[in-house]
Amino acid sequence: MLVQANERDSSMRKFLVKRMASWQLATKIGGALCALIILQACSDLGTVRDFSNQSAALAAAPQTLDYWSGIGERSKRFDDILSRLPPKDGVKAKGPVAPDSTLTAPQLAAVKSLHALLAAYMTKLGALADDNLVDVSKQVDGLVTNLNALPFADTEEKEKANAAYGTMLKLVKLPLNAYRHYKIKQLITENDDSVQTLTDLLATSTGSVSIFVTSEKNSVLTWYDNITRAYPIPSNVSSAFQWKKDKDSVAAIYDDKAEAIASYETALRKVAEMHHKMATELSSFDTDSFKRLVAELKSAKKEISLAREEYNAAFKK
Amino acid sequence: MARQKLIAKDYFNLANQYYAVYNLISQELQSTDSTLTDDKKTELYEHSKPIFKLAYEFQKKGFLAMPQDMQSSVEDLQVAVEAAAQTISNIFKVGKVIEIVSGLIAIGVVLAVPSPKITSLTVIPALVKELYDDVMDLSQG
Repeated sequence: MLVQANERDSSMRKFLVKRMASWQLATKIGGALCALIILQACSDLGTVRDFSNQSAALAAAPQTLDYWSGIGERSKRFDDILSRLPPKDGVKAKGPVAPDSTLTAPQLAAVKSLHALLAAYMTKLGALADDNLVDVSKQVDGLVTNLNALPFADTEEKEKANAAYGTMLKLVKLPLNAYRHYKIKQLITENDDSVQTLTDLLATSTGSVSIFVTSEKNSVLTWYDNITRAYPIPSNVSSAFQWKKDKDSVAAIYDDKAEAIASYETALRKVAEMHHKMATELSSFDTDSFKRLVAELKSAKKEISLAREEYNAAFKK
Repeated sequence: MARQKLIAKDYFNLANQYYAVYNLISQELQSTDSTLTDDKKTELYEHSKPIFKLAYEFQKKGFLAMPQDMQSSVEDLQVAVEAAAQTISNIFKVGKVIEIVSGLIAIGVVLAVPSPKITSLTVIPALVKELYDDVMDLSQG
């Protein structure tokens, strides 16, 4: 029994020595990268992660396009009113102006895929900037616990060796972190032009939809006036009050949406602006400029988050 | 040299201009100070409808042109998203390998092998070497 235990002890010791030797490479790399890591420690990637995640959530919102393409369906809500109005000179009353056709479902899907691509890009950027990605502490602690549970002759020596092994293994975070910083910078700098082009066009189209919503509001309000001229309401205070109330309630629905979409456009442009700043300043290794960037990213994240909330609220109505 | 073909942004700009005209007419129609008679208002209302329809048509053309105009950026970003996913997977793999080794030890597989050859663990130094090379590229670049 004792011989068997000693053999296992020796075998495990060899195993640990071998693993420790291989992990000395990681330690050396960690040391060599020390200056780089210290400098990069100033880089609060949490702000990059938060900004990216908010931008991703914003870009993923498809309601604008659905709303724009749904004008034909929306105009049907007046059909019930129109059916109650008698024809004038043999002509049936018509609803507000509506386009003859809109985009087909596959055409809409093609445009939405552009929003989805920006969202996917920002999501991946956010995931790369997440500190948890390079933290192997949990896994290493589990490994050390399991190593400690192995039957060794000398428990104290075993635990010391395992703890040292675990500490070395945790050093893998250093090269992983440097690798991650390198990849984030590479991702941002190499794709900045594409991100600028894409966000600019998405923002332009979104801004145009905001103008469309205001125009749709006007189409309903002018229709309301026109139908009132054709079918006058009784001249009394109650009817006049109701007429005004109806118009104001219609205007409020559209104004909220137009404003929310306009904020969405501004937020998209903010995403582009901050991405460009990251592309410029992340590669500079200048801690001061990075501190400024972090502050701006935090502020941009708030703006984007608010725009998204406003946008979601407007489309829940 | 002027472009022969309109791009998505041109269509959206055109749409915005038509909507601007439509909205101006609508404001006049709704104005309580308007000097227009009811008949003139009705006539103007009917004439404004095609402007709205035209603006919507330009927006349609704008949306249709978007995927084409964005083709090159889309291709680049698709590659970038895949590369980022690969990087995340590579980093994640390190933690996963440690977890697997830990699992092997917990169930006694390591002890059952007289001379431990845990092939999955050998991935880590190779990966670290790759990371090291990447970082060296960065410092030299």
